[in-house]
Amino acid sequence: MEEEVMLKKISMNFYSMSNETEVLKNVDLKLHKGEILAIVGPSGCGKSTILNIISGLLEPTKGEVVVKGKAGYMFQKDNLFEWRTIYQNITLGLEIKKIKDKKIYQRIDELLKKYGLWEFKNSYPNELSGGMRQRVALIRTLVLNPNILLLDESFSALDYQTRLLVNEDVYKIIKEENKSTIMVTHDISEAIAMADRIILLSKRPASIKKIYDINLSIEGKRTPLKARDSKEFKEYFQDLWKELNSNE
Amino acid sequence: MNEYRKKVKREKIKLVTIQLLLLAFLVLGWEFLVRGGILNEFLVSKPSSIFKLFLTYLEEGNLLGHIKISVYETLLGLLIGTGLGIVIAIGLWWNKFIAKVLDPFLVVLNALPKTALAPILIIWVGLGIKGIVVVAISLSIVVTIMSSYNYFKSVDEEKVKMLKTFGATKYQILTKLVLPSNIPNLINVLKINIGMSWVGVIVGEFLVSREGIGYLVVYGGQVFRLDLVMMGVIVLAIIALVMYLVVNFLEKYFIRRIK
Repeated sequence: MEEEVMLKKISMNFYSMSNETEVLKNVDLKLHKGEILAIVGPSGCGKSTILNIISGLLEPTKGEVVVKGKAGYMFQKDNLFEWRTIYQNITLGLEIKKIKDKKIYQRIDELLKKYGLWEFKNSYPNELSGGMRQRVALIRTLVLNPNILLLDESFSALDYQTRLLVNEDVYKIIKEENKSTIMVTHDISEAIAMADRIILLSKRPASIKKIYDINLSIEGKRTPLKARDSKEFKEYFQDLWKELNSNE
Repeated sequence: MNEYRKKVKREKIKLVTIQLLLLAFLVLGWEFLVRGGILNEFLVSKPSSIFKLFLTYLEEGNLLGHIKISVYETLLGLLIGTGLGIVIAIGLWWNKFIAKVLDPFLVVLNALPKTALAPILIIWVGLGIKGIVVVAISLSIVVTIMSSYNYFKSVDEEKVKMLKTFGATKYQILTKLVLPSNIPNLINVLKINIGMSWVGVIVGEFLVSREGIGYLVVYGGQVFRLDLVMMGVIVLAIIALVMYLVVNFLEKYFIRRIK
């Protein structure tokens, strides 16, 4: 299978006046085309650092990074600008890149209609629910047409109900738009529900402890909710839970 | 819905009525206490003579000229002080090193009562409008720099990071995020600076002027014409109120789009 992202023996150290912190140690990672890869690990272990390295915001101390194509980032908060309408929020990235291609603007209209935001394109973010706001944030990322999506705890600011719904939404959009995705989460069940593969990181300095291929028996098309209902879900959960809380 | 609206409206009418009654009560009370001989007219004057004096000054004393000159000085001080302050704050945000270098100087300048500098500034810049405007600027600029810079600094880091993932330049971060997200804060700074600039202008006029409301007040004090002093203060209060309302209107116009 073709790889879109490859990290080879990545190490990352952060420095301050008083000490040096080793955050990542010899992390190898591959993201295959079209898959959803979840990174799970104890809090503060450097999961987000991996995304920052892939997106180019950080240079690793050691190791090699290969990214084929463009990465789009989705954050914990939707980061919508309250003084811009939904439409203006979505075109923010285009404005910054000074892209004026007419086709892209047609695509925005399509995406807005397809994902139920057309009537809200002239509304301001505070008129939308949390789930809709997150959808706007996703579209804002999608219009720049990245082939790789990086989701950094993108659902953790939502309440449980909304979160399940947004999981459904985002999963559907990712698969329809055929994006390769790396998602960082501390929610094990969310990782199993969404991902094709899960990478479990150890405590700091983080290295890869275990990799799971998620194979669930699901009738028909997979969705995160159906995944939660599958009989293997519980086994994966228990195993991940045990590994996450073991102190090696 | 309609019931609710009516209720809110009634509340508002009640509030304004009571405020007006309170004002009338104070003014009438003042008038009658003086007429009844309980308060000394020489010390506190009385509303009717102040109003009479107001009319006389309007006709013969060139009151409008005095108002015009003071308002002109204040507006000039306000706009230059706030504008220059914000521009300098942008400079500090742009270059954190310069910000760190200047920090202790700004703190000291801010703690210093700027009115103490007024005589020096006026001697340096010259008498008349120029000197007075500079005093007004000195009062608002330091606090503008410090508070605007703090507002700029506390912009949400994650939003900055997001813009960076879009490949935004520093200039784009400034114009797309830092400035627009801070418009309500900057309007607040402007509000505070109205008062500051008036202090500067009045102090400046106390020191050197032959015209303006500050001059009228100081002149009234020197010749023991308390009605003249009171009139100056009341005119000042009314103009300050008008300016405040204008800025309030501006605020509503900008914030309506955000809230």
